[in-house]
Amino acid sequence: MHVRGYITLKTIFAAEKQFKAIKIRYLVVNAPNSYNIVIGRPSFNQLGTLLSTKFLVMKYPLDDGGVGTIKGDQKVARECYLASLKLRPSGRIPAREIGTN
Amino acid sequence: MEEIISRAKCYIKGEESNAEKRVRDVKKKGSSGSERKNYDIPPSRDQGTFKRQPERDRQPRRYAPEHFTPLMMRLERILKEVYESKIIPEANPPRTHIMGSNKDAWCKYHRVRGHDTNDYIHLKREIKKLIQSGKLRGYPRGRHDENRRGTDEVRDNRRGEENKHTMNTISGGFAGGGESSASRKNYARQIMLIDEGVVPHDDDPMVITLQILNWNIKRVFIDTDSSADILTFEAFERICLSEEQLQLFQGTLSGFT
Repeated sequence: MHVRGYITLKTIFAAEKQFKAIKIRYLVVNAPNSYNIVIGRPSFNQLGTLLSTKFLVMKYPLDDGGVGTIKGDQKVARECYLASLKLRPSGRIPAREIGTN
Repeated sequence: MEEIISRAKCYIKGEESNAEKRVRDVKKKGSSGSERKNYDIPPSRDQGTFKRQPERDRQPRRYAPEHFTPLMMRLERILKEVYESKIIPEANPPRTHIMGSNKDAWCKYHRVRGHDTNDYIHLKREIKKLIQSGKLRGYPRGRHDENRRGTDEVRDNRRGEENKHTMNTISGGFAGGGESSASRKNYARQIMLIDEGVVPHDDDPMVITLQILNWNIKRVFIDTDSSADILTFEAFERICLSEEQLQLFQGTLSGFT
């Protein structure tokens, strides 16, 4: 995987006037992706986030002691998910290649 | 109304006689050889106010409409963004107050009354040049399907998005509608009817919107299993950052498919 480099950018997690800005060190990669950004463990922990994948909600502590809430965008999620599947029509592996042992 | 018609007729007559004269001139020139090169070109009305096009390009364009790639937004808005990003310097201040026949229209490029910014052919050419030289990106319409629909505002909202490619996490399996492609498509379509809120789902991924440098960036995937924060190069370029700002990374990254 070719990494072009990294860049530190101030990123704002915002929803309905509650916002929190953190500095994230992004690795910039050339890989085509249906997502623009993938937030991994480092910034996830830096933000102190709790994530419910069932309710698609993220909660994180704000600087003033409150709790910020971000809801996932289901529409975009499904679009991206479908797009990622579509682009690999031959992705289904023949049964004999999977192997049972 | 009659006045307008009569004025228009006058104008047409003038043009015709000009054209005749030009034809005559060309003939004369052909027979007697070219003594003065620019003899047959009539003085232009907007001469001197700004940079003139090369003379040989000028004549045919008055009659044959030039082709321009349709742009994603109005010229006015592109101009504003071009000025903000300081790709080209602003046009020189005008010498006249009115350029053109429409007294109510205002041209932001010249800062004079008389014609509308959006109809202005020199500006179109300037922008065309910029696009061709690669200084201006993202404005030509019709490259991606998703850019084709919607109004300016919708398109602006979509600016932060990138086109769809492949996904670099594990996808497929039982989540997201099942095994057959029809059922998955159907599953993806169901959501289009719902405006807000979370509906019961088959393990949808967590996708949110973030803000970086005044850009709303959609399609941000929260992947708690990934050990790095990834920004795609496409998105990086799109938020108007240059490659020089990148710092060298000497490690490796694995796990992408």
